[in-house]
Amino acid sequence: MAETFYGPWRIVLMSANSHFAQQLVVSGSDNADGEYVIAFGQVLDIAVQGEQWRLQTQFFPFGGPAWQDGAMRAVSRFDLDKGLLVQVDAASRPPGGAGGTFTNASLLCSSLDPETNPLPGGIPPDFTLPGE
Amino acid sequence: MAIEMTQGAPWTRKHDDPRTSYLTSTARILYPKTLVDLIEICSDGSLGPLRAAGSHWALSDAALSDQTFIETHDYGNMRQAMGRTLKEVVPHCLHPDLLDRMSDPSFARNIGSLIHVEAGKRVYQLYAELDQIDPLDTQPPDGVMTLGAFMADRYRTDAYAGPWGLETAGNAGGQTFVGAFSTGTHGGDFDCGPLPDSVVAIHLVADGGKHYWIESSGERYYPQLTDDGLLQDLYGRAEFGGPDNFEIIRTPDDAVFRSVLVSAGRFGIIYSVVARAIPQYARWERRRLHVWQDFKHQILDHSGPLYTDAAIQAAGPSPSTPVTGPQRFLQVAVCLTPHVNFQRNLAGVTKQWPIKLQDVPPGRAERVGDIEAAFDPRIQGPRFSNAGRNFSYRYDPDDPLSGEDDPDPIALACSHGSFLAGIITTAIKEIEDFVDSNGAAVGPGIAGVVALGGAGLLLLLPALLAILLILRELLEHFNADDRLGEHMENIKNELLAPNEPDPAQRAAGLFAWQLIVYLGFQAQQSDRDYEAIGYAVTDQKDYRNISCEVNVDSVEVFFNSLDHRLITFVDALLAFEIKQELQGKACVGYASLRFMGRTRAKLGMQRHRITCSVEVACLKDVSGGQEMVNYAAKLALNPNIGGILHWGQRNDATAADIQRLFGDSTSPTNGDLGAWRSALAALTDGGRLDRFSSEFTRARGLEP
Repeated sequence: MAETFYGPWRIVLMSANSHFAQQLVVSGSDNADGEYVIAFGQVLDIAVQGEQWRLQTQFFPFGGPAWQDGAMRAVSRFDLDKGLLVQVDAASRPPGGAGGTFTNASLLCSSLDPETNPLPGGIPPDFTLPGE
Repeated sequence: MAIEMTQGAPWTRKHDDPRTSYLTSTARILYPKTLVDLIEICSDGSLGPLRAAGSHWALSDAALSDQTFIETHDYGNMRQAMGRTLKEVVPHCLHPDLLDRMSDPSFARNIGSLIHVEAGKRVYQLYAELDQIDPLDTQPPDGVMTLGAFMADRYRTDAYAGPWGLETAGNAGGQTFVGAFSTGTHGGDFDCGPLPDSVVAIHLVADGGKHYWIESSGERYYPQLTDDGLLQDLYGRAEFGGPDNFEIIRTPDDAVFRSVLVSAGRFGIIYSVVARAIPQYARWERRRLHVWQDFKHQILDHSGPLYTDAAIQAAGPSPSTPVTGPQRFLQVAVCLTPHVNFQRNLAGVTKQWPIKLQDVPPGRAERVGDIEAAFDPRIQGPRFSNAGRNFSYRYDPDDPLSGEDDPDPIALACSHGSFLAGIITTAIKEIEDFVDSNGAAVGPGIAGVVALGGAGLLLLLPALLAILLILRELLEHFNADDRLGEHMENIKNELLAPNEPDPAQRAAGLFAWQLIVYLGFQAQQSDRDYEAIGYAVTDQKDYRNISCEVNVDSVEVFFNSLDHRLITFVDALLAFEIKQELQGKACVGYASLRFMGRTRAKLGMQRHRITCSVEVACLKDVSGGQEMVNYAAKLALNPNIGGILHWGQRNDATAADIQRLFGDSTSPTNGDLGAWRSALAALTDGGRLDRFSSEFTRARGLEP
């Protein structure tokens, strides 16, 4: 099932490792609908805008006949400097089913909405003392 | 109209700034005393838009009327409240087959009892009354037997003598029971739904004056709660507008009942409610101080130790009576201010277990006390010496089965407005020792705020000397009459001074600030193990507090406890606090996570098997607090985060948000919101009777 996002996000491909061909499909966006190749060494860095849009990874099974939706796992976190992040890990297998790893591709989505991380960054002072 | 009324009077809420009123003037405020009054008000079109309020504890605008305010419990406690406990329906209109089932003592033991109360009864009054032993007087002076007496008389059973307790409760008892449940109020019990799920029937007066008895159906009260004929005889009388002005609603899907349960006043005025009570019980509580980052991911594991802990631990204290069930309560209070060089946050983890009621339950005397007056006309019930009038219950560590004579020092200080003095004194002492020893003497507070592996703090020694002078001066000029928030604003302004040109001085000030908060939070969330009667554990409200809980703002956000976005949301708040501290602002407050079961209410916030609420509260006097709450409210409504806001706290949701959270994307008529709207349409003649519509409900799409 596709992951739904709201507002502006940046998507960066972090890693890809699969025997199958893989791609990312963005739909419902204002500016970035389409298919993007996911492959080892491939640079993928796109900014997506839209009130509500979807992200889906796909793989092409040996012998086809067509692209199939892949299993995905999305986990969010909040980073002090980078703000709201969602890491989407993908597997080159159909969605559903229990267990299994999600190691065939990894995408890092960063929210570009200034309201999720409204304050400017700063370097906190150093409150350390000697010792281990 | 004989109903007491004021015109042009101000209207405010309990947690607003006491120096001003939330509304400086109102068209009119009405103070009804009876069902007849309510029917008269709702029948009188000249009064314009209507809205009911109870204790004024809500922080949302749900209780605001476009024109006429109706008070079920006078905020000023000067006029008679609609606070009676009623006996005409329970037991005298209960269905005969149900009464037969209730005569089996196992019914009282396993399912419990019933209580019927008017809308203006406060929660602490309700739990105090439930906790009394019914004398089972079969010939009472007013001629109307209680449920206990009725069951003793007809079925020869004393199973309904009590005492009884509420299955769950919020952490304060000052709200009216109706105000609390109709906004979805909850406690931290994840083995049952929130407060609305204790409700069995609602007596509602709608626009136009027609009144409805809306009853839950289901196996528990099979074949049905009340007998239609008896109920019609009672409420179909001419004084209530006659039989055509009264309707009983009982459907297999409970669609209307589940809609009215949590409806923020949109359906009309709730006159009374029947609630389920269970045999009185006690709770065993254990609280431990941890670090949020060390355990936060355990929240996503329902079979893990956060939810399935054992009440009795080897070599630890244990309750005086048997534990009667598994862990049922979980609360995590996260300190927003960081420590360990900005990397960690303290978090108090509180767990509770049900235990058998003690012969002399701790907390009963302190939280309810003696009956001072058998009938107080102002509250329309017995007046208890300590219900709603005392500090929160504190056990004596040397004698855990007894309450402590002196209240908790923080509670005491809050009631006098100066508890910070002790914390600042400790901070001064630690910084003094640290500076005098050239960084060698590291007190426990300083050790908590720093990280090891550097020497950054040693470079701040000269600046800390200057901070010591500031702290001493603050202490000298402490004014016990100032509110906590005003003290904290002074301290923050001195310590986090954003315009201070010297970066070392700014850093030292920030360090002292974090030290003070660290020491204060540790004191508030320190380890404790104790037992007490249920309400003394759940109701943590300090009713003598005049300082710490005024001029506050808070927002409460609900998540599926299995959703990683819950953790993300809390971490976002912690990141926000770090950044605003670097800009000279700070939030004096906390993020409190509580866990609860799913609700039946269509628009209840508890939509998951275990829902987690994150309450972010602040003192508005301190710049940074309001900013934190604003940020939390905004972030919660970001659809990427997916939080649901509490109806009774600050609620900035739009109609689109409510549609997204409670509706069905295929059609506005589908989903829980669609069902809720259908129910509203049914009781308002398709929306024609719209006097309970308000700016609040229209903005959120709570319309037919």
